[in-house]
Amino acid sequence: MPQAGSRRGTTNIGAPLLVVLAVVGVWMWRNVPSGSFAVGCGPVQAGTIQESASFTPYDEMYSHPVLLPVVASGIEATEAVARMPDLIDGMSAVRRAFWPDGSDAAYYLGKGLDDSTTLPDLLASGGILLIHTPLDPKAGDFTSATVAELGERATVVEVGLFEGILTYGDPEANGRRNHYLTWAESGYSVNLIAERSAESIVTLGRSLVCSP
Amino acid sequence: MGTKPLVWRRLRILTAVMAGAALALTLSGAALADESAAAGVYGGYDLFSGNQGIRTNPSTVTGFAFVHPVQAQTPSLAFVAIGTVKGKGNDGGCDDHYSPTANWSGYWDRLYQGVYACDNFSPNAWSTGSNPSFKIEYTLCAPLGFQRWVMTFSGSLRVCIYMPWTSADSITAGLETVQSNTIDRNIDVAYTNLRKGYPCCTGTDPFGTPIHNESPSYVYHLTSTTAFEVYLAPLD
Repeated sequence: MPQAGSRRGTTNIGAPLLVVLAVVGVWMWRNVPSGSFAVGCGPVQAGTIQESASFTPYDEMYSHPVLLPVVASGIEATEAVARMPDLIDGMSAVRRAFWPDGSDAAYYLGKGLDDSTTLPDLLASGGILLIHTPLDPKAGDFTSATVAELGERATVVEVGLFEGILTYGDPEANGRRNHYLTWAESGYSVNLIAERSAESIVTLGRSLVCSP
Repeated sequence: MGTKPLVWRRLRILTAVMAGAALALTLSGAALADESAAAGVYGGYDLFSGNQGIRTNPSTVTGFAFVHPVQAQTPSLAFVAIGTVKGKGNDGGCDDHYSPTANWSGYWDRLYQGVYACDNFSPNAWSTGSNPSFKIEYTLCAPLGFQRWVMTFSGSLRVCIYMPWTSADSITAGLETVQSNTIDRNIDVAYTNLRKGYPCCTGTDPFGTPIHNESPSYVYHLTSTTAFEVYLAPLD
């Protein structure tokens, strides 16, 4: 009888334990930074990402972005935000800004920032823009909404354990094209924009979410 | 009484400062394709509304388009826009409107993650003297049940677009010609009842005194803090 009771006891504990483990596992999968995992963390080999060949030429577009100098965009932040690294790809943050909706941005460039430099100028000079924007819970799931919006232009990639969405942007006024990589992390959309190859920008994104 | 209202008040003050600074820094080629005129204000807005007064109806000539855009743009240069067009379509999804009797047709377009898309609505719906209303707002998109950038034109919901940004870095309105510089010069649009809204607060404010930038042959005329006109002279 004690043995039977003991076996029953083990069984009774085992089922809730499995549920708890499953819940913890799901929570970790969704919330724990992926540095402790190897999935989606290595460098991406050149030529391994297949993207849509479609694009719209700049002079075909009806509306176009209004280009302001980077220094006039948002409110300049005097302190670094912890989630924004000081360096990306060996470049320092030359401007940090924030917006009242809670967005933060850091602009990275390998040289000083001129007062007249626009975002396309910065990107054409090898710079990088990193933006974090709080996700609106009333807007639904970020990843599925973004994929639905972008259709076949979106390529889903692994950024650590996050599902990243990669696009090859249409040509800018200067004729250059940039890659955009975005993913949802801890209630924010993270957006990384640079004139890099598809593989390079995914590798850069991974470097932000994966431990060395 | 948290920090958010303080931040918004600060933004309203800074918006004026930034506008002056940006103007001093020389607005770098505000937008636009071949020839254009645009005027905008900069800050954090979740609503832009007004009327688009269509003052002329130039004959359609193949190979280019006349466009009256109003738009809201984010820090990454993503935007949503709506307005009227006549002439050539584009690779982003908008059709040609070359009918000899063509009036102005509706269009919306957007740039999200660098990817452009465009679509038409209400072909040939607006002629000279029309004054359709427009509204771009981050709000509930009723058909979807989710918050979206909702664009309304002439009183009808035209499209709901997803972007994670819940406020725009700038809102602008203007006039442009796309894909050609050899054009009929008789084109004119008057924007009136221009208002802007903030995520923090109910109600709206006048559009204000915008930063403007126009190609040499375009004329910009500020009428009030809620109205301006842009045209490509000479007019009839």
